[in-house]
Amino acid sequence: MSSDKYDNTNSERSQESSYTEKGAMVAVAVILIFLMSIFGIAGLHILTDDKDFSESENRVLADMPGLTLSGIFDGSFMKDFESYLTDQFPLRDKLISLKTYADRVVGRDEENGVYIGKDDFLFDSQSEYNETQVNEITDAVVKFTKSNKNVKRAFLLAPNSSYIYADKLPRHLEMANQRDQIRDIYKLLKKDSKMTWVNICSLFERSVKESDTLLYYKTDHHWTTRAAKKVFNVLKDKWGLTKTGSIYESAEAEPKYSFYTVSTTFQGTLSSTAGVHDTYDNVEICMPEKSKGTYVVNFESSSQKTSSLFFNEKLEHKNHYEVFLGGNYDKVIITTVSESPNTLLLIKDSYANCMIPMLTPYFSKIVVIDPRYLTDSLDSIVKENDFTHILFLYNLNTLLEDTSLAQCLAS
Amino acid sequence: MVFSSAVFLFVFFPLMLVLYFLPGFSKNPEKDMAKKNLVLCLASLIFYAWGEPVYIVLMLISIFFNYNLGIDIENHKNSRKKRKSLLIFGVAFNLFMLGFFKYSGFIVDNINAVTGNEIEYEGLPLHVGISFYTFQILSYVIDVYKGEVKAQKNIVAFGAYISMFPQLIAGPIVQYSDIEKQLTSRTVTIEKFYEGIIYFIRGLGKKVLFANTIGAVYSQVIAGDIASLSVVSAWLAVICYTLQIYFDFSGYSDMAVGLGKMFGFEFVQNFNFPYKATSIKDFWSRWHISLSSWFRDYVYIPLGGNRKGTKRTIINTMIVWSLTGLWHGAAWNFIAWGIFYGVLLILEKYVLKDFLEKLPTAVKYMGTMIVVMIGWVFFSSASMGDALTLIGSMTGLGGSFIDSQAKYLLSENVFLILVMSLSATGVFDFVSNVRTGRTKKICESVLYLAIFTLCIAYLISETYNPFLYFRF
Repeated sequence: MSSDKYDNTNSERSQESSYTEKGAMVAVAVILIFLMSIFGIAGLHILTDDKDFSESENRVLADMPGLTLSGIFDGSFMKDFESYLTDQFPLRDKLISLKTYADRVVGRDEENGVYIGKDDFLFDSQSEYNETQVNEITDAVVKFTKSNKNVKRAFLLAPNSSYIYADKLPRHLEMANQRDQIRDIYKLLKKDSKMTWVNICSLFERSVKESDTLLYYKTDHHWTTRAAKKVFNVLKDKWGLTKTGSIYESAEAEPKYSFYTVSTTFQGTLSSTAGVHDTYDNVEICMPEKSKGTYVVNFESSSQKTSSLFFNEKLEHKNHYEVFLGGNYDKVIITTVSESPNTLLLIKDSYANCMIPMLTPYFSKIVVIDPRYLTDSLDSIVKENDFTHILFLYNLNTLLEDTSLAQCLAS
Repeated sequence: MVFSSAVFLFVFFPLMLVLYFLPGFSKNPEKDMAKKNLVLCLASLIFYAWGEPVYIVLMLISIFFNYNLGIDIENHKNSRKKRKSLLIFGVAFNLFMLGFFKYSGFIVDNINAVTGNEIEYEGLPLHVGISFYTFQILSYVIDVYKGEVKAQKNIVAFGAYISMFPQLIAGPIVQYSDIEKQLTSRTVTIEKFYEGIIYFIRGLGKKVLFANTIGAVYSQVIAGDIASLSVVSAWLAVICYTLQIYFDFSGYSDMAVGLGKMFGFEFVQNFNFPYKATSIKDFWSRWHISLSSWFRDYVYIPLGGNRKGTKRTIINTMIVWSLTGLWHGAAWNFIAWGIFYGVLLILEKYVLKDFLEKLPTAVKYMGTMIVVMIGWVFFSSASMGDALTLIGSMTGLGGSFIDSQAKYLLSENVFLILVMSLSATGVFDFVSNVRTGRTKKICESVLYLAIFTLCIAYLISETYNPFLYFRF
C-alpha cells in the first residue's frame, strides 16, 4: 500500500470520533503483524540453512528441487517444491508441538495413530487379530518345533502397554483384550505338546498391582528391561536353567544381575509419532555381574565382531532403545565362555534385544534370528548347529502383523 | 495451488503483494490500474498452472475465445439475428468445454449402461475450477448479448476477471456485472485491507482448524462397514460431514472475499449462516448464494420463472435443481441430491405451506436441519446404494444404538462439535456483536492473529511424516 492512501484514510476520518482513529491504529497494527509474519517466515526460510535430516521424524528432509521443463509440465516440480518448503519450514518442530498441545486443550488425544493417555503415557494402536494369519503363523511354528524333537522350546508372547496399562488410556477408548488373544494363540501352539510358555499377562498384571515398577516405556512401544527380567526369571525356572562352568568366582552360585541406568532422556518412537515431547523415559540395562568379556558377538552379515551386547554410542542418537544389540539384525551369533552344553536358537522381534544379555550365562552359544531381515535359510542354520533350546519371543502387535516368521520357518 | 498451503501463504502471496503494490511506472491512475490488472492476471495464471500445468492452455483458449466473442456480439448491435447466433455459438462452445472435461466420462458410462455397449474412454483428470469460471464466462457473454454490460475491450482486464485467483478454485461465482466497474477502478484502504486480513484468517481457520479436523472424524467412521454402524456412529458421521462441508466451503469463500478485499475488490457474500435456516427455501437463500443467484438469473428467469403458471413453475424449478445437482459433480447421486431439493422446495411452496407456517420456529429449524443432513448423505456418498445404507444405519438398521468407537469419538470431539455448531449458527457473532468499539476490535484482532498462528501449526503438522521402525 502506498503511503498517500494511508494519509487519505486518516484525513477522511479525522472528523469522526476518536474511536475510529484508534480503531484505525488497531487495523494498522494487525496489518503490520500479518505482513511481518508472512514476509518474516519467507525471509527466515531463505536465510536459515537447510537441514538434511530430521531426528524427530527419523527421515531425510526434502531439499530444493531442480527446475526442469519436464518437472513443470508433469507437476512434479511443484510437488517437490511444496515438500521442500514444508520440510524446511522454520520452527517446524515447535509448530508441531503447538498443534499437539492445541488438540489436547480441546480434548483430542490422538495424534498420527498414537493415543495420549493419562500420566504422560503414550499408546500405540493395536494390530488387528486376523485368524487366518494367526493360524498360518502357529501352524508354521508347530511344524518347525515338532521337527526338532529333542529340543526344549518356548514361546513368549508379550502383550502391549495399551493392555497392561489400559486404565491409563484416554477416556472411553476401548481396545481389544490382548489376554484373550494371547490365550488363543497359546492354545493353537499346544498342538506341539512340548511347547512351553509364560503367562506374561498374569505376571504383569500382578506386578502392576503389587509394585510401581514401570513395565513399558511411556514414550516408546517397547517393554522395559525390568519387564523383560521378570519374564526371564520365569522362563529360567521353566526350563530349569543352571549355569555351568567356572567363569564366576564361586562355581556354585547363580549369577547375580544388576541394573544400570544408561539414559534419563529417552523419547521413543511413540513420542516422535505423536509429536509429544514433554516426557522422558529412563533406559536401564540389566546384565549378569562380571559378565564383561565372557562372550563374543558376531554380526555375520556385516562381519563385525564386538565383545559387548550394549552399544553406548546409540545413546547419542534419538532412539536409545538401540543401546540393546545396536538395533535389529538378521542374524547375530553370540559365543560365550560358558561351558554349558546348552545352545539356543532365538527367533525374535526387538522385544528380545534387552533380554539377550541375561541369557548369556546359560548357553555356550546363542544364535539370534530376526526373520524380518533374514535372507538365509533357517533350515541350514538349524542343521549347522545342534540346538538344545529354541525360544520365540515376540510382542503381540508385531506378531499379528508379521508375515516373515511363517515364511522363514517354512523355508 | 490452494490457499491453505505453505507455498501460497509464504511464497506466492508475499511476492504477489509486493508486485501488486509496487508503485507503478506511471502516476496516471489508469496506467497504474492496468499494471495492477496485469500482475493480477499473470499471477492468477501461475496460481492455476501450479496445480494444473497442462489445463492452463484450456483457460487461455477460453479467455481469448470469449474476449473476441464479447466484442463481436457488441459490434453487431444492429443485427439481432447475428447477435443471437453468436450467443448460441458462444454458449454452446463454453458448455461443450465444460461438458467434455467434466462430464464426458459420466455420459459415456450412462450410454454404455443403457445400450450395453462398451465404449472405452480415457478418464480425464479433474479440471479444477472449470465449473466456476465457465459460469462466470456465461454471465459475461449473456449480459453482453442483452446489452446490460459493455464488452471488455482490455484483454488483460478480461483475463483477470476469468482467472482471478481468489475465487478461481471454489467461488464465489462473480457475475461480470457485479465487478465490471471494479476491474477498472478500485481502491484499497487501510480499513479494507484490515477487513481482508480478518476475512482471510477466518476462512483459513474454518478450513484448517475446523473442516480438516472434523473431516478426519467423518472419514474414520465411514471407513468401517457403513451397514453395521451403530445409530450414534452414523449420526456422528453425518453431523461431522455437515459441519465439514460448511466450514470447508464457506472457509474458501471467506478467504476469497478476504483476498479480494486486499486487492480492492468486493465480492458477493457466498454464505449467510445456512445452518440457521428455518425452511428449505431459507437454506438455499443462505447456502452458496452466488450459485443460486446464477441459476436464478441465467436459467430460471429466462425459462419464464414463476410467471407462466404453476405447472411451468414446477417444471422450471425441477430443471434448475437437476442442473444444480449436476453442476456439483458428474454422478447420479448429485443429480438425486438436486432433485431431492427441487421436490422439497415444490412441496414446501405448494403443499405444506399452511401446515409449516403454524409450526413453532424450533420445530421448523430442526426439520430443516434434518432434511439438510439427509441431503448431505446423498451428496457425500460414493453411490446411491451407500447413501441408502447410511440412512438405514441412522435409523437403527445397522444394529446397536451406541458402540465403543462412537463413545470414544464422541468424547474426543464433543467440544469441537459444540464450538463448530455454535459458530455455524452464528452464536459467536451474536455474542461478539453485543459489544462494539475499540476494545472489541483489539480482542478480535488478537484472537485472529492467534488463529493464524494455529493455522500455520496445523498446516505444517499435516506434513509431519515420521518414518519410524515402528513395529520393530
